[in-house]
Amino acid sequence: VGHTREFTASALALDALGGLTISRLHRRLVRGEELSTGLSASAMSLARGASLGFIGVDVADGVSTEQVEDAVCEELTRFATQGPTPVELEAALADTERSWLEALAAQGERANLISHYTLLHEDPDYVNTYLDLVAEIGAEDVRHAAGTWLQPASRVTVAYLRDAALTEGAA
Amino acid sequence: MPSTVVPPRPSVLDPAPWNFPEPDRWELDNGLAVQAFDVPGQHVLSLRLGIPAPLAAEPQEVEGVGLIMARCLDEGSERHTLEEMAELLERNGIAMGAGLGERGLVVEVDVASRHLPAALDLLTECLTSATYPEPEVRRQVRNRLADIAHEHADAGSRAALEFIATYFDPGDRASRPTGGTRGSVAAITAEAVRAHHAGIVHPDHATVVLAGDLTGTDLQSLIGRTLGSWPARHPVSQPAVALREDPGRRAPDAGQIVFVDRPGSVQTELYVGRPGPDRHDPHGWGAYQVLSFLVGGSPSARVDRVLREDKGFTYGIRAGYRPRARGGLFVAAGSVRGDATAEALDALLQVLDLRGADLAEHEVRAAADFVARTAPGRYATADAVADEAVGLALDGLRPEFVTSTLAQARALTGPQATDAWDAHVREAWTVVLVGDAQANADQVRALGRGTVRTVQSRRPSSEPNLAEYKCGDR
Repeated sequence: VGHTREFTASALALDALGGLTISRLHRRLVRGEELSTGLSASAMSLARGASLGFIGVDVADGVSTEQVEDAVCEELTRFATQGPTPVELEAALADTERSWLEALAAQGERANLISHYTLLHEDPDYVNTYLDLVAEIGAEDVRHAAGTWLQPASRVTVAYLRDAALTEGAA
Repeated sequence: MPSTVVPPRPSVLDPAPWNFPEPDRWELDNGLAVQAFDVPGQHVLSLRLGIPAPLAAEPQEVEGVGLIMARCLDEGSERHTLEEMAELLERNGIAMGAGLGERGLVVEVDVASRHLPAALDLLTECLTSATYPEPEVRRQVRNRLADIAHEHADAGSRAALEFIATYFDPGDRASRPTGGTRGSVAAITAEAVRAHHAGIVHPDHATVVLAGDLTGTDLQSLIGRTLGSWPARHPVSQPAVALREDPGRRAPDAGQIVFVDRPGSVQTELYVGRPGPDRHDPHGWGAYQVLSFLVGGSPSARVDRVLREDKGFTYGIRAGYRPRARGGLFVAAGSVRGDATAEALDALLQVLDLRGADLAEHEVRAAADFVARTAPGRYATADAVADEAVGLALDGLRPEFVTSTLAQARALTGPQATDAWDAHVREAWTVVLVGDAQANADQVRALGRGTVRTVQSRRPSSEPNLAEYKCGDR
């Protein structure tokens, strides 16, 4: 559920996994094994029920989607055991801080955020306290959140293929 | 019943004129011009570095080299590998990127104010000692080729590519995509990227803009210590690339209709354009900002009032003026229902065949008020201020240009709008359609709006030389 410490820790986990250039999925899939030409990871907070985490991978020419999916699952499993490295955590925190301040910089987006946290969570002051909450989150929180919420077993994979055939697989 | 005295309703006054923020301005010994905008309350600082580099300066056989250079700029230096550089940037929450436009290279850095010193150090390091390692260049070339395939598959970018190829003289750089073609990108080597960096990336004639809350930041010394150490060309001279300005002439046969055939398409992408003004036009850029908004800047503008609201052909077509360094264009683009292709094109051209005398005083007023009074919101953030200032600097204009343009817009009269519109209406439209030609081309011909040439849309992987692309245009 959004607006919880656990959600914030999960969002940091996704950032560490795939939201940054130094993220392990980028290092392995984009620069290491060159299975992908681009990759993103993000979290979508929901007011009720489980929130969603997304990992999007542009699969390189001639690479099978299964191979990419297997590699992503392997990294998710490993992350859930090891947690973030100190550098990954530091970078995820710094990125979160800048993104949050950028979001608050524009009037429209600031109004949206205040409205969101007021209407869905009755917390109008959240925009001012969020970064303090983020700063309190440690590596173990992130590992624990990933171990609880980012297990490959809870995934749904959608592959959009060249011939426009859509295949779905849920494990 | 007791009588109550109702006070008279207060009248709403016009808002006071708003001015674009004024920067502190100075120049470093190496020739780099600095503009610093203090924007209180903006805690993420936006830095934009604009380096003049006309696209025509790229050797034709490796066109797109500028974009690959931009993407590899922070992927390794004499002191740090890509991984180390990425770590230094991201541990400090620094977002660094670079893009390429008609006029030059723009490096963008966004950073929380306390990490500014680290950001300036790393930026300076990239500018002075980027190494462009072979594997990173190869990877970016490969990614760019994948992007090209995406651009070819997407109807909107496919239309833009066909448009520039039709509109501009084939001898001019503007007729070819900013990011190069499949053939030219595939030919880009690390060596070519390094040579391009050596020719382009110099502080003289460049401008750095910094915007945000600068309270307590000693910028003069901070920038002096970092970007001040970026060596100037010896001797400092006009950049050689200035000699290679692209004329961007219109092709002699540009006034035609090109239909890119995509059998089975349920939508048709329209892309329509003709010559327009640049920012230095004697009628004033403010007049053209107002006209852009009036004709095609919103769902209630002239184009969408007909094509979207009345006819239901489209979710939205945007139209307006696009200035280039010299001269410019008026462009309308968007997608319509496939079965309404010919009807929608006809309706669009009818709207655009507007005569200046048809403009009503009240619609000019409403559009002028919108442009002038929404400016404070448009420029409320550090990144918006920095983007605007660096774009103007590359166009040889000072930031005061925004204020004077808004003042012109605010005071624009009907007759002035009429004259401005009528000054750029004489030439024939270049029309590109991407959709099902078999089902629609004959109806388009029957409109009698010019010859219709049908182009087969081939899969991008089939022919290396066919592909024409546009990307990262700014």
